[in-house]
Amino acid sequence: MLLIGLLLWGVSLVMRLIQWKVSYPFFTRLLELFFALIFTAATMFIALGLMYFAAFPIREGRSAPSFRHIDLLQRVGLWVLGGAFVIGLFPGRPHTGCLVFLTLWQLFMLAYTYYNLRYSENTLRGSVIITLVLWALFSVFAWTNLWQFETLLLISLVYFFQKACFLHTEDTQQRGESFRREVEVMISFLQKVTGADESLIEEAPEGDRWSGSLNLDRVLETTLNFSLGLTEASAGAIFLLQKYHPGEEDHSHGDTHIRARVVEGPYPPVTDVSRLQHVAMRQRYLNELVLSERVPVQGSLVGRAIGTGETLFIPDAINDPTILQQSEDFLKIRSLLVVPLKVREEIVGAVSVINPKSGMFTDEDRVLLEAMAEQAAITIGSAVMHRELQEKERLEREMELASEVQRLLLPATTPDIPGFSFGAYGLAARQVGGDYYDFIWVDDVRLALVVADVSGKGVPGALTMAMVRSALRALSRHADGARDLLIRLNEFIAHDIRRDMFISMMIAVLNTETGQLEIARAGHDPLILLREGEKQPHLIQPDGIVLGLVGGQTFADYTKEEIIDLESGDIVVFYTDGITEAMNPDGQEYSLKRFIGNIIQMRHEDPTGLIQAVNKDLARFASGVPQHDDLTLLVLKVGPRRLQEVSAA
Amino acid sequence: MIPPDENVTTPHSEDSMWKKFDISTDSREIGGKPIQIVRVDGYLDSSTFPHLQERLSGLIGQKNYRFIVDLRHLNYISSAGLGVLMGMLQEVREHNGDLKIANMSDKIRNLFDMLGFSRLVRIHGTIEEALEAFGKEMSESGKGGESPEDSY
Repeated sequence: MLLIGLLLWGVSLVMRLIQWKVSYPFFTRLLELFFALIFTAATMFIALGLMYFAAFPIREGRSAPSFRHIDLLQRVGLWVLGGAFVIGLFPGRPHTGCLVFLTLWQLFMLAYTYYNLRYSENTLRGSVIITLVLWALFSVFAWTNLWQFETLLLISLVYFFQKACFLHTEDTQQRGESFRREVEVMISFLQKVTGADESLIEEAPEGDRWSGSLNLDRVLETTLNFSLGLTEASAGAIFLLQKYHPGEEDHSHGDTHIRARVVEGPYPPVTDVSRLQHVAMRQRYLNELVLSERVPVQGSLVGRAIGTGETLFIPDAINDPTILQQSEDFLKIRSLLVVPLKVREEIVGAVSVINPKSGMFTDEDRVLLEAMAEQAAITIGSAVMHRELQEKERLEREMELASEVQRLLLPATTPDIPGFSFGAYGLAARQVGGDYYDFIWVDDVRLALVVADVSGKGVPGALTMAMVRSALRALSRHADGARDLLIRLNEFIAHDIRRDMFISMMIAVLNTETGQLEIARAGHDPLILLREGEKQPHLIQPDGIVLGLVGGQTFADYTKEEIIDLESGDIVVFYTDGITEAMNPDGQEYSLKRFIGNIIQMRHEDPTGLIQAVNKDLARFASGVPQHDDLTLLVLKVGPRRLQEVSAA
Repeated sequence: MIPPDENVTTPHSEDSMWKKFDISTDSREIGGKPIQIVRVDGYLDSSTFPHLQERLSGLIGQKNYRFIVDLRHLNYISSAGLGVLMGMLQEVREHNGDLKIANMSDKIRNLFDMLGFSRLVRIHGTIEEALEAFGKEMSESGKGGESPEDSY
């Protein structure tokens, strides 16, 4: 609109310049234009000041603005203009000055109207038309050189025309009224939510960080009741996107589905209730049904408002064939108004009201509900956020608990067996992970060394780990060897583990008398065996598949066992992929190669020293990048005494 | 936009390329039965796997039990991502369907071998090979034959 105005101004300027060339000396015209502009600017400043005072109370919420302010400004502008003519501020050719002044004035009025009454689209349209009419008229004056008197007369005529079609139409007045009510509604809603009604403030247990914050469900109830009162609707509900329903585990349909959080009155469920007639008559049952329905955003009525982010206003819904109606008469939607709840640019849900007492919702209802929804969304948004934070707090506490459990599940010390030395190290990532290691005596001479990685992280991962641990301890007494233990363990957990979870595990059963090591692998990273006197380690990787995916014979068929005899000085390293996949700032992985290189370099160290050396190199590599996986390292070294014992035997 | 180059890495940040993830689906028909081709690009880890889960569950919900998962642009797969694939594999096989994997990189192939998944899931060099395998299976099962994987 501003662009059109400028364009027209430009055209008229050219027109005038052409005219000046033929009639008046150029400098006189320039002076005239200069005066006109100065005058316009001065008037504008005065008017701006006036308007500021007129508009100020709106922002403070003290009194409501009205069209009277605009009317007043319009009048002031025109009187000043008229006065300017009388004292002869535009010497010679008044219309040029008039043209400039009125153009700017109209544009300014337009801007004022737009910013303060953005709801009144009709008013805006009216203003544009009037501005264009004025343009046309004054352009004609500029061409035809009319006298001052006629110009004044025409201005007055235009003014009256404007008043007739713009300010004093019933529609405009109503809008002014409605705007005033809107402000009242917003203020009283705010008072209700924030101040007066203390029940909205959640009673928090002592020491709770979030004490005194908003209770979401109470806020929603208040908002809904307020909406019903405002529009005199007989029923309504507030829907939230699934992901904003606090305390719900299932977020898989977070963005695609909505569900009612509060409902009032005979609000129709989506499910056809005609077959449940006798039950359906009970409103409580119906309301519970509404609250339990998960409605897709795509294809539902309320979803339409949420999807587009715009108000859905169907005053005559009963005659709209696109609306699916319940067969029960009292559940039919006669008139519908759905206003989305927007927090910043994000839509959290929608308020839906139906069937007002008057029969049909009016445009005023729409404007009022929109104003309230704008305010309510902010309150609801902060309540949701607060709930999310609470949820997060709770989860964090749970995590702490889980990681405490995990710490308790891991052995506190390494076994003390003559001829062998052990080292173990477990580091949990920021979240509780599913790494696990253990030393379990199978019988008096055989010790099982176990390293495992549960695919799930967090609480489910820790729980699965706990389950595995007790299963292993219970089963180890009956197991024949490493492979048998894996098969029994798989049998035990295969039915209890979640389908999308699995466990990789390495079990090595060490015969502490003979130094024989039976190794079975359930999809775990290979075992590293660095033999005394050899430069490169062996990667021990017998066939096998992760635990928890396949059961029975298939698992047994896949799983093989490998047996090695350990000699003095041999080093065996168990680990989880948290080490080999540790990342540095460039996104590169630590890699098995670097890990092995480190072990070779530090082979003279005892297990604890070796673990420390690896950790040091790992820290150097990661240079501060927080790791997202658990990290477990278990080292077995055969001492020199073993050789003596064996040869003595 | 510049396509991600596997050799070029960016500094560690949440929105850097190694958080990149995308799923695209396509459908073909073999022997009158639809086969869903699901391409998974980027990083399938604990933050992105729910998207894949949702997409696959949606397709399974629409009674699609034959899948080819195209992993040609998959840079990384975490245990959670593997869990999704394996869970879905079991589910489709219960409905006499299958989930085959095509265009797997050596790195991910090694991971599958280590975990023992290579014995469980059918891995094919290209989508065409996987489609061919589906065609063959269907004509076999038409004769009453059963694939060995169905036995577990």
